[in-house]
Amino acid sequence: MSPLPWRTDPRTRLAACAALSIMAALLVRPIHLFGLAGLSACLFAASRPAPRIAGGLAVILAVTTLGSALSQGFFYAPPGRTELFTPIPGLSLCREGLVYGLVQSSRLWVGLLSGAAVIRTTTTSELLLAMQAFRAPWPFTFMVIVGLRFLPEMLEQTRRVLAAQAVRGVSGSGPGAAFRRYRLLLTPLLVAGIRRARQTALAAEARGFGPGRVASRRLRFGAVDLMALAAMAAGLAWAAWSAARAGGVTIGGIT
Amino acid sequence: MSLTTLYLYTVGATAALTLTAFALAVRRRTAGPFTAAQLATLSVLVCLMHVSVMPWRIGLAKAPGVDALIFSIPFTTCLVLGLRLVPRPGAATLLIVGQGILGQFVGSGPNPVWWPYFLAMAAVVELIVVLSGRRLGTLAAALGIGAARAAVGYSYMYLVMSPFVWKHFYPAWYFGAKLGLGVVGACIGAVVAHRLAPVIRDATEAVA
Repeated sequence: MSPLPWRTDPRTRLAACAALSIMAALLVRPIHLFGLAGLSACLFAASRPAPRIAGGLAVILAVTTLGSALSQGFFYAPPGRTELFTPIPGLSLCREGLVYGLVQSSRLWVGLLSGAAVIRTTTTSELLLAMQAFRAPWPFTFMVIVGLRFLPEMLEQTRRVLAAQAVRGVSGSGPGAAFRRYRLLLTPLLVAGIRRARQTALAAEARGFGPGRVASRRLRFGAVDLMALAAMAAGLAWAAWSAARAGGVTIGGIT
Repeated sequence: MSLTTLYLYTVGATAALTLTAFALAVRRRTAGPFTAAQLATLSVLVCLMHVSVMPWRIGLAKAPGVDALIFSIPFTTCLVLGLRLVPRPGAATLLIVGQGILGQFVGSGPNPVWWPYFLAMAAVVELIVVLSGRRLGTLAAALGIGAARAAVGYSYMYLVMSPFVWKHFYPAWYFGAKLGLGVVGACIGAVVAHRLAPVIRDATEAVA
């Protein structure tokens, strides 16, 4: 039997990711944030990621957490801060900021983990159906679908052009050389990409891929979807109530 | 004022700016549907914008001091090139919001909280595009588009989005440095795009 995230409607998956991200922005208490991050981790685990993908995401989460802790360690300024390290006068790393940054990084985990779960379980055609069902403007739908189709190709093409440049002797280090390589990279990359994309667009248009397209598959909400949507609505209402009760965050800092 | 209230105010201001830009475009009779070829061209630029910003999305944005400058150059180059290849109202919104949404679909998942951030940058650029009219192809317009996008983007990010979404706070000097470097990077990107645009336009017209 396929895992639960795969059995839900793609609209439910997208809505779940959006709901979790909104809740992560609204909630204030660390225990709630870590609970939300735990729920997102469960969703990601349920998508049965390969060890390589889970490892890659773990690296991204670690870098994000470190960045959040360090930036707030230096910049978060609660009264009576405990200074740990002062690299330059006036800029010091404080313990309270490090802890604060670590806690706040859980907001980023929610987005990254739930987003990874959605990406792993949603195909491009399901995304197209969901965007049409959500009545997303056609130009955006078209661009996202073509973009998803061309992204891997663009990365591959970038590697090829860089390799060709290296063979032709475009080398050197430092900002000047990097800038020159960047300028030399753009023209072939764009011209080849635009040519392929226009051909694809014309072929798609000729086959009736347009705003009035009628899909052969229809999306339907099942019992699991309805339960998930009810849970999301309840979660969002609770997060809004919790944020209002906590007094929220003022421009100057945490109240 | 709470950050939620500030965020909601900015959403209202963004909506007002977007409506103003599109009302002006309709009044000047420059608005209309995009062709498949125009959308395909913009899609490629959106992909390229996303490829350019990918290293910064996985945490390298924390590299002190350099990210704002380096990130702004390719982003602005692609934005200005897109507006040169498809010089019409709506293209900036498709490029900026399209890149943001594509980034969400392949990165952190759909998150509507961030959409006003993309729309705010797009609204300001749309306004400049509409007001530039026939002068859109000049270096001054390219610099204005790049600098305005960077200024709005970095201000919105460090004054509204970062405190509201991530509850991260930054001192004024740090915000000022990021803003300054971002605007400088955007101006460099605009100059690169201004120089490359005729070459790329000729090449793409030749293959079309």
